[in-house]
Amino acid sequence: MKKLNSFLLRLLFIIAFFSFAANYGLYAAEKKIIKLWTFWEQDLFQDGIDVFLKNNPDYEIEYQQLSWASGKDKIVTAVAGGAEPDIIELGSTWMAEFMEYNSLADITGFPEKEDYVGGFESAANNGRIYGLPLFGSVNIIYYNKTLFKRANIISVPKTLNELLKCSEKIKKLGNDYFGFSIKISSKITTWQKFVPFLWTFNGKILSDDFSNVLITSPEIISSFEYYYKLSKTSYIGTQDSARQAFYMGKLGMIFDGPGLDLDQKAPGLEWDYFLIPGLTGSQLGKSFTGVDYLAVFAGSSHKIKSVELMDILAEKCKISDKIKTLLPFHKNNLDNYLKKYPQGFFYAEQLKNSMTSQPYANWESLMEVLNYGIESVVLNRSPVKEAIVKTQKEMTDIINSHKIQGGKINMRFIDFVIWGAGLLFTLWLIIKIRNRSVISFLSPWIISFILFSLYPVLHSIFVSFTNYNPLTADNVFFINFKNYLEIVKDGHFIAAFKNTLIFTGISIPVTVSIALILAVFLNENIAFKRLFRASFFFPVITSVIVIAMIFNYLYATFGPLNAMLKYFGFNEIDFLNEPKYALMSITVMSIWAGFGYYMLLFLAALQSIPEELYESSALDGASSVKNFIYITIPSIKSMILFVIVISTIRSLQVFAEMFVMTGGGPLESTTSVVYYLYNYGFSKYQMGYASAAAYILFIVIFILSVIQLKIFKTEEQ
Amino acid sequence: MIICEKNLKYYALRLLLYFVLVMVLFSTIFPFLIMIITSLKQDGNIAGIKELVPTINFFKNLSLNNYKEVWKSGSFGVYFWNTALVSFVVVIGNIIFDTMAAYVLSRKNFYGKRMVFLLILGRMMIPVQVLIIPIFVLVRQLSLYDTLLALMLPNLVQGFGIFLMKQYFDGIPKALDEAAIIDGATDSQVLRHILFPIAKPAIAVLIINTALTTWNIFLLPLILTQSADKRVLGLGLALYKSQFGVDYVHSMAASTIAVIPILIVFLLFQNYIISGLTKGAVK
Repeated sequence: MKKLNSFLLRLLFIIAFFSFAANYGLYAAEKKIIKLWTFWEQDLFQDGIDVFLKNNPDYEIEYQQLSWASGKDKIVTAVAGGAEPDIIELGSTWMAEFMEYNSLADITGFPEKEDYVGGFESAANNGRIYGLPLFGSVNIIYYNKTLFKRANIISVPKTLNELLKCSEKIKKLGNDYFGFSIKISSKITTWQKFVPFLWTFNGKILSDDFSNVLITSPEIISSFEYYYKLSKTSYIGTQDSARQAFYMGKLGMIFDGPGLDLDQKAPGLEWDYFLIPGLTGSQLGKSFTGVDYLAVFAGSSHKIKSVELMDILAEKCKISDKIKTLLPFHKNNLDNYLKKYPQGFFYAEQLKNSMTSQPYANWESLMEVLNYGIESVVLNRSPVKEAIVKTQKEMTDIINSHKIQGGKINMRFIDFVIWGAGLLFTLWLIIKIRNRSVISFLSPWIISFILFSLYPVLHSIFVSFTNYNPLTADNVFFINFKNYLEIVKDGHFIAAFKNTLIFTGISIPVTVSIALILAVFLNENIAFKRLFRASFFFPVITSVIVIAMIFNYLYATFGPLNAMLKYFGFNEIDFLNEPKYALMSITVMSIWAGFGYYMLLFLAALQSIPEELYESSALDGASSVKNFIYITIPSIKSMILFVIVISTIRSLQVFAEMFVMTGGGPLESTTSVVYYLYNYGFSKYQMGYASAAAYILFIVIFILSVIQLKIFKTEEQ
Repeated sequence: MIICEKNLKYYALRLLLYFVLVMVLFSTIFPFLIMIITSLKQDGNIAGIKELVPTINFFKNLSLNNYKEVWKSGSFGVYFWNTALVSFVVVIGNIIFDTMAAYVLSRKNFYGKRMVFLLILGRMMIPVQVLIIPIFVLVRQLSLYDTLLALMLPNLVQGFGIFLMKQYFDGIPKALDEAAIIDGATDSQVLRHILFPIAKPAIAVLIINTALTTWNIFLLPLILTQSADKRVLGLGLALYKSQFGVDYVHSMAASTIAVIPILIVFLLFQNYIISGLTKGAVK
């Protein structure tokens, strides 16, 4: 034991040393550092960075490229922990949120607004400016020329009514063809592809002072009715599947932006584009544009230099060279762009007729409600009137839900209490265990528990009783059990809970039995068993992202699985876009990806069964099935328990599969509990609410696990 | 099994068994093939089913260019070695520390045993999404922010491994180590010389599992590191998916490179899982 203790001591010493070194490194930095976080490769900004560094030799720039899917988590965490960068790239909806919580620096009057052609709408609050517009995305309607010709459509539609007629004509070409595309199952895409119609009908979601929801206005009702009519002849599916269908020549028209990659993905396709038409032929319709901004955090200590850098970056960045439908807002940059790409004038025309989200802080929550409304209409779940009334009501609830009651808390004091209570508890446990050798064997776990589990767990438990918002971490109110009571009543949580239970209830029994049976077979004398074992493990080592890409391809509407169904005379199934099948499709994928893993665990357990047991039963003349039931299963009971408990813990926390495949949709049919709470914590900034949901889930898992442990224990005795 | 009744029924069953196994084999290998073929393609699209049947024209279009570009782009090599270093340290830590904790939970009786066990299990039941902000705050307080240590230290001992080893030890008859204790062996001798060798299959599983999860580690490095020279593979792979689409060929090439070390770990250690060491050990 002495050896071990000295090893642990050394480990602690190393930690202390590194902490010291890191601190020293921090304080020793002489150069002034500007931290710059964007969603792009550094090359695209390098020209601007070089110019800035030439002018300011005493500065250094620390560049960080964020990934699109998870960048916001990193930003939110950094703000909550007080370690935000100096400059950040934010989309229009995020701008509103960060402005609302006073996270951004006021940069009004600097630099010259005249240097920019526009785009400041979402960066302005009460006449003050908080960000520089970097680029705006152009969304236009792309159409398949061949299909237009086949459907005898001579000219592109000039009004929304003509668009509808075009779609109907193309649909008549056959069952496999669709006129337009309605995109669903995405937090972002669903509403962004719908609001242009809403705006073209002159509708508006919130009144200008954000105090009224205007969903029941006649304009919005007509836009909903129009979208419903359009959906009858449209392809309805995720953005990816709609694009895939367009590449394959199955769609007449697709309303899309910078992500559509026709040159690479559909080289043979004959296509062109037109601007979104208006109500009458005399005026254009309104399109959606997503504007990305560069902004300075209020906590930055290099604000003035940061703005200088941002201005240079907006002038020099090469994002538009990489993606032609992202138009720069800086005058010089735009001029250069238009010189190089004449078709840019056309895009600029559409951008002029584009609008972006209203700068309301809870916009994303409103859009979640709108998404649900759109999906329930186009998927025929409820009539337009009903969906509108429901949407109006839920949006009004969100707008009115800002009042906070309770006592304000000093979080520093709470942290102090948490550490004190946690350490006292651990000390009590160690004293109670008393047995020296037990403590020394447990010491690595105890140290790790104190250092890395105690604070996060207790902190999050405490947070679940507050209104904790990661962007305003100093302003926390204690609200008792309010979060818990609201969650239990929330229909969306109950739906998510149901989905999670269905997923778990199907995936565990199926995965475990497949794994167990295969393990027993592969433990026998079977030719090529090494090959089988290794290949069954392949899905486990493949990353979720790759698995998702491949299953997206397999499950696609015009993909191989449907081709097979069609060949054998079955009806085609829209695996991921139909609420009935989406959860099941993901469950099947998860079973496929997981059985090899549990098979390996069972194989390991099977090795501990002494051969003699089987030999003696062979003398009695027992059959293979009897051996399996009376020898194999009882002998590996402890491993079966392990597999069941672990798979319960993991399945009830299922998240990644939904995150990469369906974004929780369509119609929330694949929203799991963890997806639900993740959404609350990082999109709506209600970390207190999210934590409460997490601990409700925790209690459920805990009870299930204790029951499982009990069942196996009583059998033992 | 031991007695083989070599009749028609037996062969029919065998045939059926092989048929099932081969079907499963195809289903598991085929996405892997799509990944590799896509990574060799030049046109930027995912390989379709048709392309799994190779033609002459098809071979002409394959090249290793994507791999070259991936390895050169950014600091993929750095990500690779960072990940390897973190994985190695974490695997070693888990082999030692998990078995230590598992040993006392399986073999000793002490006050609070059940509580310790439930604490270990319970920690796994809390969705990590609500823990990452306090973990971030904590790691900064410990001055570990933006270091590889921040990715190693919290993972050196994990509930999964403790639980796995405890369950495996539970399945080994106590008679063996009780005899050793009577002969005067210490706990650490029992663990090292008696249980450890018998538990080799479980250790192999532990190594494979820990290597796998650490190799694919994503959320911790996402929030706890920022400079490019501390980046790990999981983060590097995520960058192939941008706001406006996925770079399929390069992301598949990068994923293929990323899978190789794990495949090697698996192939090396699966021998220990199957070697049947306990034969004759327990009588």
